[in-house]
Amino acid sequence: MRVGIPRALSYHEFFPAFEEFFRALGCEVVVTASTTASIAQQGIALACDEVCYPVKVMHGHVAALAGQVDKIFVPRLFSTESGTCECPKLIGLADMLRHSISDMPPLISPYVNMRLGRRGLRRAVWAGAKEITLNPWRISFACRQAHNAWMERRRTWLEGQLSIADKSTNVISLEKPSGNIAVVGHPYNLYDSYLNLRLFEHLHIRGYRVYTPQMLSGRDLVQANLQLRKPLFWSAGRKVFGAGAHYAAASDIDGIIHVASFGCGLESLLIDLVQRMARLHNKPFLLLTMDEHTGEAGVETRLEAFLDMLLWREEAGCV
Amino acid sequence: MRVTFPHMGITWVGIRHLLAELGFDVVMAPPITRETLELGAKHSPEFICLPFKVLMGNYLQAVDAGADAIFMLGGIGPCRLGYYAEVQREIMRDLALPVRMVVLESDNFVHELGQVVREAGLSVPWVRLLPLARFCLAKVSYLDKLEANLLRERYREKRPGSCSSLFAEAVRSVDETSSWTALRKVQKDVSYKLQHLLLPAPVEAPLRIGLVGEIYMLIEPVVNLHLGERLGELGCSVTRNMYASDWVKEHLLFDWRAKAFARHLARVTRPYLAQRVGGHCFETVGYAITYAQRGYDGLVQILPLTCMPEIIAETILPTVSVDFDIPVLTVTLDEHAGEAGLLTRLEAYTDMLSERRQRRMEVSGYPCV
Repeated sequence: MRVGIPRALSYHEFFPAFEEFFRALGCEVVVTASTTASIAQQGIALACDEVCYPVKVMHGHVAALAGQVDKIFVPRLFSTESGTCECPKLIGLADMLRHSISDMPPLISPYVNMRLGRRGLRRAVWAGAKEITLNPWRISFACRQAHNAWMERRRTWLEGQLSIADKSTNVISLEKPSGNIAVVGHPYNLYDSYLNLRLFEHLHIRGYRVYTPQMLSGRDLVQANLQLRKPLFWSAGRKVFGAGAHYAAASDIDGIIHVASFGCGLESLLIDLVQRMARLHNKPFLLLTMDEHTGEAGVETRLEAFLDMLLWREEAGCV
Repeated sequence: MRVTFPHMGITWVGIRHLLAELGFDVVMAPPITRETLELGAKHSPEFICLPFKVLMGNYLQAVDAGADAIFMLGGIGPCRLGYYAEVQREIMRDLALPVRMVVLESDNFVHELGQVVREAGLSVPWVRLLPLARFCLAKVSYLDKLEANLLRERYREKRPGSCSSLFAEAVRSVDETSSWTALRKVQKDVSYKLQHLLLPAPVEAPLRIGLVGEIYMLIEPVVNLHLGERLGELGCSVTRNMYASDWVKEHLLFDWRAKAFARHLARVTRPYLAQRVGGHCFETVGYAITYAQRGYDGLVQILPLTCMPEIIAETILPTVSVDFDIPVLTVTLDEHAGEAGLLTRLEAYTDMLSERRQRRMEVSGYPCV
């Protein structure tokens, strides 16, 4: 059985778990290549006009898998953390794809609701695996493999490793950095270099270390979120705001770049909250709102202006 | 403590009465105008949805009028509305406005209300609370029913605009009532006047349009550019799927009919949308299918720009349109939308629907195939 996993949205946060799970169940796992212009264009043509850019790119990835695999894995993520929920577009993603793309292989779309606790997770795992095997021992083995793979990735993130594949972009590899920049946003905006127009590459070329929300431990994020009067009810929101607040207060971070997609529901509120935190701690803040019309030259210009401002600030002794 | 609350259609009639009878000094936010929208948009985050901007405008205008406490609802997501109050509180703090936000959540409703009542130093006759709430709900419920009736029958009004004037008059009269007898009298008066405003029903049935979409845009006429009225003037009989009083009865009270219909809706919608995604996406798709099954001529979906659940509905409605053979028009609005543009689109849509019906009559003798 060939199972396709599109390299978009929740993939960027959970990919080792997904891949390992299906591989351990004995499937051949096909992951799409990194986003290219043709995948993005295909996605824009298929998806509804008003949906945010990352979801359009997801449509492109799923269309690229059609015809190559027997089933495509697109989970229905209602909630990935107890007491929270995800963006509605992620919850309804499988239905959106079904109605936008014709001639698609069947989807494996288990309903994941962590508000139901371990029972919910168990049900989701069973729903995901039942089309491949009904053997509970194999499923339980696959779960353990997936969990181990994901914990390993978490460990590398916590150590400052941005990308396992491309070691040159890792935080830990830069010995004498020009500075430390925190880049906050959703994982699919940060770790897809086509979506953020190679932002990390631009920062690394100029010698800056990059810190992302995934490099913070759960405890740091929870601590940072306590500053809010009412807890955010989106798990993705808690990570973005938690990272923004933590890095704003951190003395070794020189500036914060917030990468948002135009039309993102969560970001429309989060950019306000993170900006407030940056202002509170007098931390330079740059907001990059991206969509399919954004040009790399424009992003580079703004980035250079921001980094120049950081240099002048340091020279003037305002830090 | 001078309290205020945001506008949402004619719900202010019930809320104002409730707060005034509890003893609060109520400062009404001025009716929503373009200035409200512009003021709100100026002080809101960049691509937040339209209801946030309207509410922000309401608060700022109400504070100008002298309010110092704002009642607002909270939520637990996934719709953004649940977190509006927190960001709005911060924005008003930045503007140095001495305003307190009272946010009523589903789990601390009574506690929060009790705290505000104590702070205001009021002695609330708790025994009277339930009958009072029932009366306020009855007021809003009646106005909702009247609005539904007018949306349905406006196509046969003798003078354009007479139904809307009657509705405005009814709202004013209902606002002045404070007893059941007075309310019943207003209902009888309005019903009598309405009979004289309408022509008899024509032989050929009008085009029937189902209006679905995001709840705030449906209920607040200024924000949806009087869409229902425009469709009525174009000769269509409009049925809207959501009203504020229905929402209250379904979610806060035990209305077995509403709950039974909700189960039917779920049965019809599940093949298209497997689970609820927040907001009113489920209701939009469900009612779209229900209206199609009842033989409506067309659907209009209205949503604010970037509304997440409604965008999912927007993706699903084309399949519903093909499966149930019903045209769907999606109207996305924000503060830059113009009335003329909307009217042009509605005229084109209704022309297309008439033509479609005409063609089918010629082919089969029936308006539907």
